[in-house]
Amino acid sequence: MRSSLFRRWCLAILLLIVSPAHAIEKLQLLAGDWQYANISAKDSQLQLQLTANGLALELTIATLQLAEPFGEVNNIHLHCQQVRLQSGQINCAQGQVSFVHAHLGDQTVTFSLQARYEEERYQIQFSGLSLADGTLDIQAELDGQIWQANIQSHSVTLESLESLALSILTEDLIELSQGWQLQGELNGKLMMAGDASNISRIETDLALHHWSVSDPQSRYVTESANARVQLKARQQAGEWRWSNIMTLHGGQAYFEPVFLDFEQSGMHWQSDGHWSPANDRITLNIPEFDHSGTLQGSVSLLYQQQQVTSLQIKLDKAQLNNVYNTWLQPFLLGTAADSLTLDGSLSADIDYQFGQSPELSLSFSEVDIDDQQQRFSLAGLTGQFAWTGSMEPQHTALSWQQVYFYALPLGASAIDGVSTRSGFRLTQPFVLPVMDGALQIHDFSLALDQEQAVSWQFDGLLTPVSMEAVSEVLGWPTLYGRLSGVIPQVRYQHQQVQVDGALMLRLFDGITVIRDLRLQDPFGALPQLSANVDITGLDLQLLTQAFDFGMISGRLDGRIHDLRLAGWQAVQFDAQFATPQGDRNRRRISQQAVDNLSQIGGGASGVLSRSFLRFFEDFSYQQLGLSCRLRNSVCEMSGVADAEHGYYIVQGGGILPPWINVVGYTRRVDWPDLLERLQAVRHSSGPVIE
Amino acid sequence: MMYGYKQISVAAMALFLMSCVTINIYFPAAAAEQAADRIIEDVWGPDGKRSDQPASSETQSMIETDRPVLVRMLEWVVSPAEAQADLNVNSPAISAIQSRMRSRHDQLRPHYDSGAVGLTANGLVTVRDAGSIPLAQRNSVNALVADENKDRNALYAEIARANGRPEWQSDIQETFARRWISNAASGWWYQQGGNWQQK
Repeated sequence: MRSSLFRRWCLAILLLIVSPAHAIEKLQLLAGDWQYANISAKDSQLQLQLTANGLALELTIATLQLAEPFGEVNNIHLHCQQVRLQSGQINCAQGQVSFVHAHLGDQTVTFSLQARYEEERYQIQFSGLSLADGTLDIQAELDGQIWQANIQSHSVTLESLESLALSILTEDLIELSQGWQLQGELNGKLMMAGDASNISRIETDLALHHWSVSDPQSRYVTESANARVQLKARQQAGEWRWSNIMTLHGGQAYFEPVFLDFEQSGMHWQSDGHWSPANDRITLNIPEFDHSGTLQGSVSLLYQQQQVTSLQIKLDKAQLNNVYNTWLQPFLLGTAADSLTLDGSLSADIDYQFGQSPELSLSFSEVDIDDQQQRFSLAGLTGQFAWTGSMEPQHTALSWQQVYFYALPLGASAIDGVSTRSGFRLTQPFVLPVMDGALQIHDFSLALDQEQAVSWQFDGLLTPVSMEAVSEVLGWPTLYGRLSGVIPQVRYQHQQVQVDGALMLRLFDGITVIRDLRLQDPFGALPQLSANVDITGLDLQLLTQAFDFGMISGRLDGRIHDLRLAGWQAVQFDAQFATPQGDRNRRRISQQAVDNLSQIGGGASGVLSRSFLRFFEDFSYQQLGLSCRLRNSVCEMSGVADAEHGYYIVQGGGILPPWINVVGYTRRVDWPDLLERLQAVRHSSGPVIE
Repeated sequence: MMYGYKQISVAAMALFLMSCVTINIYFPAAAAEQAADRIIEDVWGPDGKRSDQPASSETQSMIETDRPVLVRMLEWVVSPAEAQADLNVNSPAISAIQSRMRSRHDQLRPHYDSGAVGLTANGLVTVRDAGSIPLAQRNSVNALVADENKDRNALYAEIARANGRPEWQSDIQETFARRWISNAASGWWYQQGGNWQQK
């Protein structure tokens, strides 16, 4: 229809030019107001003038009302000094048009036009369309129903494009874009082509400088990023295929929760893809992805029915520390693995199919993992780990040089195992050195339930570990003896490690048995450990020597039941220690030990040394013992028997005097205070000597 | 003989009444609020502006109206043993958590002040306005928030456990939630009824 109007204008002009009034050199047509289809004009005027070079045309329209989204254009002044009229075509090699538009402002644009209206082929070119401080050059071709537009941007700001876009976007899109912030400068080319109903081709080579964008919640943000976007997209039968090269360098970005600093580490990828709107299906291949100094790899993705149905990721020798800091740690906040320092490299092959457990193949090379809170570390991890949800077993072989669990060093070891059906099991018994002993693990198996919660279990044997070495690394007073045990089953479920059976310690010639051992949230904010401990036949002489407590001879039985440690500190227990009845060992207690025991009972020290009893090196005793029920940081203390206003810690007796009684009077003792007393054993009011 | 029977009846009745005695250990709301205030003052220091609002005791003043009349009559005769348990928050584990939270507060405070981090209605903290945090600092603020929440959850659970009442954890958390907000400094943001409000 528009070409038909155009033809009418042309015909009118031709008639005038070829009319007998040849002497006319200037012709002015006052068209006034007119309307055609949905275009209307007010106060229009066309002036034609014959010049030495041909025909000069000048058109002015006070107000031109175009269809939305263009709307009203005012003060149009168009002139072309050299209009060539030939059979079926009009050309204007160089013209200029100026106008005022609500969104585009005052514009003066040069243009050229070539219209072969008979063939319905038109070419038009605009240069210097101003957008803020930048300009756009637009070149458009229409060939029947086929069109192509080339736009060249020169330092056009994204803000000005945004305000222009807002003027032509639909209300839905405007609503969606509300709250977004956009800044930056755009240079480069955009080509679009299509027919009357569709866009069939888009090609870009655009450079974005100081590109800053932010969504309303500031979850997806770039700041001063520099990007180059090369895209070739083609639509055929309603389906799009594209190839893209993207380079990001300079500036920063945050895609919740990942922070990327392109200044330090640029990003580059090539991709190609296919989008079928009818089938709601997108395939995306990124055969080359390079996050400089962090990871290189490839990604392949299928998005169907509004979900990712297939995803393959390959990483090639990624620098684990950089990968962790940028890509993993933000997702691990709040877990035990949220503060690690890593070294070494990782290659990974991840294959996810919708509805199935992901297939995972990780290859570690000289990986060191250090928990910054010093709860665990692992050094020299090398080998292959595989995980599968399928029936077909995938093999794992890993080895490492050193592991630390808190301060406890666990030595070099290796595991061999297989994964099938979202589970993992060891194929060979595994020996984990623990100081000079070892934890032998049989039948280790790990499973992932439907909520993706991990559970594992094993049974094993702890071969004797020297407690001297253990106490040294844990910073305890030296304990003499050995720790060993048969462990029928260790289970981990719901963040709780549960040890069935009993661990046995041979300490100070006695036997200490640890039962009902539970460890909850071992790497959490407050690890919880609970157990029941029974002790029989400790040699007090060895014990007191070890702790430099003053000599006591005899044997000691005891129990610590309902023991609960929170954050590795005792917060609750019922403990009782006493010399066993019927024990015929010699029972002697030294002055220093009496002094120290009396302090634990709340007395002062040094009373003995001030009395005549200082002449005796040690004393005979009938029985000794102490109990403490710890609740709420208060230890309710008791001894072997009740005394007047107190309790006997040591009851004198035996064949030969001197005998000595130590009586405690403080029933309720502040636990930290008691710990202080046990450690320092300095403040004392002396035992009550009867 | 009759007299003897009466004696037995009275004794039986007394025994019956005694057997109806129930010991209800209610959550000590007032004690919990005081304990929460002490911990909050320790963690926040003088930052948190003390609130003059009296500690409410909703949980404590529980009126059980749905019990049968006979039971209530029996309780009138023999009032039920009510233990208003104290709430102890002294344990090395609780002190350790408190100390971690106290040292973390210096890092969190500027973010409370700027409104980047706010107090949630369930006694935790969350990033409220990510836009006010420079991009490079976002992850460290996220980490602070995650660590703080880990410690807060551990604190509520440990107070309940230390008092031998693990089932009180949610009551303790709810009490803390109110008291954190109540003690928050002017200008800090908190969640109420799903909306953010500023003190």
